[in-house]
Amino acid sequence: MTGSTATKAQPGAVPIVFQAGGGPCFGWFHAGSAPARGVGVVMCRPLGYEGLCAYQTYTQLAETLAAAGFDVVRFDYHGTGDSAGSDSDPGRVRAWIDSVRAAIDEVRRYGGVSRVALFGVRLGATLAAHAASELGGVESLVMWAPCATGRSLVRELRAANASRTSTLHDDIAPGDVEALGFLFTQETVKDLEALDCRTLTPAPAQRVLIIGRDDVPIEGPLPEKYRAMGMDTDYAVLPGYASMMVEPHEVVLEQSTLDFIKDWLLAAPQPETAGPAPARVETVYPAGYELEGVRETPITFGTTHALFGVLAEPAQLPDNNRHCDTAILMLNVGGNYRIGPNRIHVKIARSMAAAGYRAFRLDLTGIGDSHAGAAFCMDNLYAKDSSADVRAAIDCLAAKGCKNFYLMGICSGSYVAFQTALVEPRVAGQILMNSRLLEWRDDRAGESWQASMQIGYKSTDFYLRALLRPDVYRRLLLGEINVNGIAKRFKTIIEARLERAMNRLLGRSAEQEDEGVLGKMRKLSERGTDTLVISAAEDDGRDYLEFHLGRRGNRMKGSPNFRMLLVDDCDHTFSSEQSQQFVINAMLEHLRRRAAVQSIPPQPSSPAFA
Amino acid sequence: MKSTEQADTDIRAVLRDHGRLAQDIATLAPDADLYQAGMTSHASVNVMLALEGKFDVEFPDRMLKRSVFASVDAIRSALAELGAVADAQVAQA
Repeated sequence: MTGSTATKAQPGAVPIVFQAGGGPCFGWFHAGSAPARGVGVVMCRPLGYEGLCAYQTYTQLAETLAAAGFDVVRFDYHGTGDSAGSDSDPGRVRAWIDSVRAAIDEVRRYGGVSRVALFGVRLGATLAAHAASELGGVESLVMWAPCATGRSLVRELRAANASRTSTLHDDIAPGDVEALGFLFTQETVKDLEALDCRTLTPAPAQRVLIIGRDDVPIEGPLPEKYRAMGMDTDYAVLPGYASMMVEPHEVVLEQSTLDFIKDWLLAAPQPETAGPAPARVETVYPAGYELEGVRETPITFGTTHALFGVLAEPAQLPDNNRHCDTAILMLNVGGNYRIGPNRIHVKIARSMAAAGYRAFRLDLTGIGDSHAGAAFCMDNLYAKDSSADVRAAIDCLAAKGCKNFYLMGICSGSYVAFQTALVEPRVAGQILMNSRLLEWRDDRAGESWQASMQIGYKSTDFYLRALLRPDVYRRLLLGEINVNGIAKRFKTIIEARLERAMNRLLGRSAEQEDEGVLGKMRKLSERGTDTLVISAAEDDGRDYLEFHLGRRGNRMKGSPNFRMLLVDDCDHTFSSEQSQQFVINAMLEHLRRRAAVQSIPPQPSSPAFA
Repeated sequence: MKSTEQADTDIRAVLRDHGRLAQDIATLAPDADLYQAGMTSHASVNVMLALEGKFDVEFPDRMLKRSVFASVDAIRSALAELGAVADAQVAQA
């Protein structure tokens, strides 16, 4: 089945693109089910890391509200998510508020409604309140764990920034804050600090629901302030905040709170004099949008078009651009939706497209906006079924003229890339980053590597080098270092090496290596499938990779189709701008090098290795 | 103003509830490195907010640094500087 721009990944939801903040913004419109309420709801996301954590909750709430008859728009501010722009653009705060205002216009147009409600978590609530105060006429406002002031958020960003190791942040400009994988420039920080929900004039809405955090008891000043302003104000502490703001694969949705929000919105009194509702505009699946030489197109794919992704490609496709034959498919990292942790997939995709390639960032089943099948859970991290989704994406891109397919994945994404490459001969190459497991066997779930790699440590190389530092011995004596945990990891590696040595003595090594990561990697190489492995020098996945592939990949030595790079000063998800740029440069350089020496094009008739 | 002992108890309670530590906070020495014990950047922010609620203080910008939240001892010293905890050294004198 090929890709399409004619149907939707989610029942009742259609991608939308609108202009705000100086460029195209991406979002979704969820049409309300009958009976229509005549009210449009705009959902304003938190920024940065919190936005990634809350993505699933926003989608679930949008569906809950649409099922209750509300027309809903959820969207990415300019410079965030799938929208144009970046953290380093000027005028960020103004662009975010303008994005909210433009999204309100969108829900009015597509819903044919005059009555509007806004919903926001954290800074999303802050931006919603400011946009509402500027625009006027907003009926209801739901603020979940709002930042009463931008200054309060900046303090948190500074605290988060300060807790990181300094070497990752040497390259940021004075006054900038790089926190939890996102950059806030000096200008953005200054503009954030000027936001203050306590002093908005006029009042942002007729009625407001403020939901307190269930983990940290902070009522904040807003309930009292808004009552004093004459707003119909409700305050409640409801479950769900703490379970929403965790790593995306750990998120637990609190449907009771989403239902509470729905019921509160439904309880809005019917206005005595509602303005005339605008004519409802039919949604049209967007053909795509251009941003600085790159064209991005939202695409559904798969047999039922239930899978979703965004294709980035050069805005102009000259006939002589052979790079366009090559598509890089970017696979989910854990439960992070298609933009990737720290929005790294968007940055890589646009850089690849600017260099002439095509890059497809997609959601596997149960993640982001691909709603086929069951919801995402930890069990999906190493699901072989994901290969079917990737193959469907390859089908989709092949129909668009792509011939060479590279799979790119960080951590669990690299597992899906490797497993798909084994069964899909059209895969010309794979870029595996910070892999922690490349194979998963259900019959060995509690054993050795599989069990050990479920807990994150540093690489053994890191610990061995740490032993050269005198302060480590003091900390060992003080019990500050998790000796037991580290010892278990060393034990795992030693046991695995001993087992391998024993098998060699018994003459079983060749057979076992054929079945293992090394053997499969060699077969891929012989097939002509290119592999670039990128590993952070301190990442514990390096131990796993080097156990199988040799130190710095030397057991693959002699293969023309294999390279391994180690990167200093970066973490597991490449959260600093510096490490992200390294990855982008490494990928581009590798693809250029590959194109220069390539003599073996991908062979459609090559065998698959199950 | 809380005593040193009460402050330690409260700090450890905050770390237990918000620190997302890989180790039991009860087993950590007062000067054990909390980041080494598994506290993430995101968790450290929640620890800061919870401490502010528990001790009714606000950490000034100059205190928003890694060393202030690096151990139970460091947190208690910062709270003492903000007047929320009795200074152990002064009390002993």
